[in-house]
Amino acid sequence: MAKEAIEKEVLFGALPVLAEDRVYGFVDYVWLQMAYGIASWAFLVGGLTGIVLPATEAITAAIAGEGLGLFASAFYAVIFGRYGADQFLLTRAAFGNRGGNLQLAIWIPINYGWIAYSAFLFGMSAIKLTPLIWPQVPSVLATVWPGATLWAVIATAIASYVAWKGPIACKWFTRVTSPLMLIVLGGLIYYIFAVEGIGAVFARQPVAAYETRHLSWMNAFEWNLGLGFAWCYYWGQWSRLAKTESAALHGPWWGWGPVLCIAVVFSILTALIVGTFDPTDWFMAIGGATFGGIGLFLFAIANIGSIVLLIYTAAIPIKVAIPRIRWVHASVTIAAVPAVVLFQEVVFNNYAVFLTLIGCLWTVYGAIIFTDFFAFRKKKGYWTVDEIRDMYMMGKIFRYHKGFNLAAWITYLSSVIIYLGVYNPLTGYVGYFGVGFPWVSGLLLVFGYAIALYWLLMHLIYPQEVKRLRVVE
Amino acid sequence: MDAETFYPAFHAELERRLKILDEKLRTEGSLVTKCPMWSYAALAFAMLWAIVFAVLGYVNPIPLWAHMSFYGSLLILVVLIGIDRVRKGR
Repeated sequence: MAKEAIEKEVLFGALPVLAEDRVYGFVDYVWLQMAYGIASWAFLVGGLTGIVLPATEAITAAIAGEGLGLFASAFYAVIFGRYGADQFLLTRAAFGNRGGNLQLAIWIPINYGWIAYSAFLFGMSAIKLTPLIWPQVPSVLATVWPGATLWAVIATAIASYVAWKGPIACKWFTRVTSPLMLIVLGGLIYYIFAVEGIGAVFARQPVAAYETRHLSWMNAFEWNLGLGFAWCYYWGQWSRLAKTESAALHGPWWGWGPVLCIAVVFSILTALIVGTFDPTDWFMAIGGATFGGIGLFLFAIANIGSIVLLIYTAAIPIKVAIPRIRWVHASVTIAAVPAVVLFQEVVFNNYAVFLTLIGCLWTVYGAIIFTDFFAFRKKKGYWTVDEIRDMYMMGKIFRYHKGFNLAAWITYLSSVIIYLGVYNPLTGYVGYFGVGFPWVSGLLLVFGYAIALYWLLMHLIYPQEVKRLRVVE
Repeated sequence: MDAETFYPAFHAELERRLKILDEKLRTEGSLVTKCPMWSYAALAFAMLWAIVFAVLGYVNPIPLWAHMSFYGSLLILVVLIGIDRVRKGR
């Protein structure tokens, strides 16, 4: 009994995943990350970009933003694959033992936000689809409130069940939902090229541009950068299951990089045609009742795939923090249920604010992890087994100050203050400093600032630790 | 499972896995096949285009040559990965 439970801990929990336990190859990763990223985030951010910029400029903002954000974190996929360890376990090395758990406590509500967008997109699809199939549908199931929220809850319940079944169920579920997403994307591409004409789309003007082209471009860049950096929190939970380091690196990179960018580009073009950022409005507008309805249905199912992955991703670090917790509590009670409070139209309509205001937190986290891994740990060959054990046991090596790395936390908090000074995510204009945006991107600035400050503070506050990391055993 | 049963079993399994990890790190440098260096280089090369796009997009609408070079770079990357996979018989 005990042995079976411990074996389950490998795929459903905290223990390092050995080569024979790994379940994901390159192709599985590409499917997985497509299901993750395209159904909700790519379509929404493409939609936002397409309502503020014309096509040529929108495409540059999208590719630059997604690419630079992903570049900052892509390389540490290999590290998690190498050790078979979870993201928030190795986070303890940079933030301190307790600090790593505090990062987890900050990130879990952020993950609720991501779940809310996917679930609400399912809800918005359902309230538009249901009247087509069932004309006498009660209004409670066909209105934004409470209809979309109720449908979002149903989608989350289905997704929780799949996530509860574990990573192999996730793998098979995404093998179904990702091709559905490709069909939707193929439909959009066909419409843009064959029906509307690429020349006509490139000639269209955005419906909600800012006062200047420069301001529009920088805001679009900031949103896309926010999405690009968002992956900083999401590498380890999946890379630990990769059959090779190459699969850990290339799978997510292709899924979240070029493939996601293709989806963003065609979302931009569709938003320019339809004039709204909400992807659930696009299908009916361009495909009519029949094809639009089919597109909406496929899109809705694909969004469940996204919720599944978000829930599983959150459940793993919860198990790392509390190893004895039952999987059902980690995957359903904690990782999914509280997200329901965010299933609201006001949250949905503020996706740009989420990408930038909350995006600042994951950007700075990524910068600190990036610096810690590559500026300090790499020379020593990252971690010894004793150090990995210490992270599991919350021991002395990564205690710093009462479990918190002051260099990391001072950097983290001061970066947020700097960011809000440079850029106001609520308005899309300059922050309280009065200088900065739109001449400099807020997220890029704090990413660089956090790298420099963390490096400096580590030398000032923990010179012994820095010295220890210079010695190769 | 109660804590008295769970934690000893959990720690024993953790130690067994850490021992394997230790051996693998010493002999092969990783629990699984390591990532070849060209792989990092190829990705970095493609990512450079994101920076090019950022600069060009910030300054002016992007010229056609940059678009074409970007897609060309991606194509080269796909071919490189394909060659590598065929070479390894996967």
